[in-house]
Amino acid sequence: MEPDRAVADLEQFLGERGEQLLRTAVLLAGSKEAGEDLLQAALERLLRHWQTIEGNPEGYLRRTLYHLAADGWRRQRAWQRQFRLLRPGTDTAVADGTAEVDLRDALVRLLMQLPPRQRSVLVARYWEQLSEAETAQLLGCSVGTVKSATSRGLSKLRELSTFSTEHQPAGERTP
Amino acid sequence: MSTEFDELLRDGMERFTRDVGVPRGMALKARRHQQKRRAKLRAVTAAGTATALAGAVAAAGVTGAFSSAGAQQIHGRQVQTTAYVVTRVERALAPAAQDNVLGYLRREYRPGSILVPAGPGLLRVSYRPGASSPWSVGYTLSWMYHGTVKVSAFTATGQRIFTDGSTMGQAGPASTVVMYRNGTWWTWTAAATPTRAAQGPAPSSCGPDVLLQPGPGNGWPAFIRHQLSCGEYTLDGRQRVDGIDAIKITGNKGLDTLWVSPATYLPVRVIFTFGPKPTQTDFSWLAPTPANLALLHVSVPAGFRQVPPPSS
Repeated sequence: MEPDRAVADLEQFLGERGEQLLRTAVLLAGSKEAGEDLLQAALERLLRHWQTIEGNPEGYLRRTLYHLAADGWRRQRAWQRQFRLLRPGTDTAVADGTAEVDLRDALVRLLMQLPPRQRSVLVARYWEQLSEAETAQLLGCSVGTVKSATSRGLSKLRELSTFSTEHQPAGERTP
Repeated sequence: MSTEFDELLRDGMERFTRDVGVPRGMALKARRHQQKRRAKLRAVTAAGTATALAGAVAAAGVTGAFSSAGAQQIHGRQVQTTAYVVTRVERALAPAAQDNVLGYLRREYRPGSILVPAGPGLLRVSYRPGASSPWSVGYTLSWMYHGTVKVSAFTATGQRIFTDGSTMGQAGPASTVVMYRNGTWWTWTAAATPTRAAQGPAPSSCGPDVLLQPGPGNGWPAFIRHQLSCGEYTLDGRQRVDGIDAIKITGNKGLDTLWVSPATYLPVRVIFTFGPKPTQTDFSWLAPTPANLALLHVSVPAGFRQVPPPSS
C-alpha cells in the first residue's frame, strides 16, 4: 500500500476507533499527554508494519500499546514520575462530594502506582472487559501470570486505597 | 474483591478518561516521525560508510579516476538529510581534500556569451544576445589542481578560441594565454593583475562573475562551497548524470541544482543562473597522476607570436 494511502486509511480508522484506543492509552500511561504519546508511538510502529498487517489493524495497535507501555515504563521508571503527578489533589478528575465518587477517583490514582504489568492486566480486565485468556493473549503471557498479576494488583489497590482514605487530610475527608 | 469494587474501578477509569479526544492528524504525525527516524538512521549509516570510504582511499592511495560504479557499490544507500550532504560536499571541496583530486570540467555557455581573459587566471564572462564577437564562447574545458588552472575556450562548433593556464606563485598569480584566432600568446603576472574592484565580485559574493584565478579562496571548489553556504538547499532524490546515480540538490539561491557523487560527494554537475538562462557545468575528478597532471600544461604552438598582454 502506498504511504499516503496508508495514512489516509489510518486516519479513517482513528476516526472510528481512535477514542477508545486513546482512553486505553491514557489509563496505561497515566495522563492524557502521556497517553497521546503512547498512542503516537504505537501508530508509528503500526505504519512501519502496515504492509504486513492483514485486516483490521486494531488488534495490532492494541497489543503494541500494552507492550510499549510495559517496556517504556519499566525502562524509564516513568510510573514513579506519574505517581508524583497523580498524588491526591493533583488529578484531573473533579470530586463531586460523595464518598463513592472519591473512591473511584482514588482507585484510578492508585492504579497508576502499580507496577506496569499489574496495571496493564487490570486495565485489560476491568476497562477492556477481557477474559483472563484474552488478556493473556494480548499481553503475551500465560493465563496463570494474568491471574496472579490480577490478584496482586487488586490486593495492592485495596491496600493502597485503605491507606489513602485513612491518611486523607481532614479538610478533604469525605463526610 | 467484590463486584461492587470492580464496578467502582471501572467507573473510575471511565471518569478519568471521559474528556479524552483523538487529536487531528495523528496518523500523519506518526508518518512524519517515522520518516525522520529513517532519515536519521540513513544519515548515521552514510556517515559510517563515508568514514570507511575515506579510510579505504587513504590506505590504497588514489591511483586513477574515481570509479562511480565502484563508489556506488561502496555507498549503496541514499543519504537523506540535506545538511549532512551539503556538509559532505563542502568538506570534499575544501582545500585539504583537493590534494588528491584533479578537477576536470566542461561548462556550457548559452548563445551570446562572451568570455574574455581579464588577468592572470581571471576570465570575465558577459552576455550580449545577438552580438557578434570573436570572444563568443560555446563551452570551456578546464583542468584544476591545487593552485593551477587551465581553461580552454571553444566556440559552439568546437573551434578553439584561447587557452589560459594560470598558477599561483610566490609573487602572486601568473598565467600564460594562447590566442588561437590570431596565433599570439602572452604572459601575465601579478603586477599586471587588475584590482579586485575592477574584476567584479569575488566568487564568495554570489555575484555573476566566475573567477578562475588560482589560489586560496578562489576557483570552482571555493565558488561552489560559498554558493552552498549562501543559499538554501534541499535534497531532490537521485538522478543519473554521466552514468553516476548522483544525489540531486536543488537551491533557491546561489546554485539552481547540484548533483554530487554519493561516493565522494564531489560535484558531477552544477547548474546556476546569473542571467536570464541557467548554465551547466559537468565535472570529473581525476587522480593526480603524472599523465593527468600533464593536462595542466599550456603548450604554445610553433609559429605563434608572443605579444604584450592587453590592458584590462
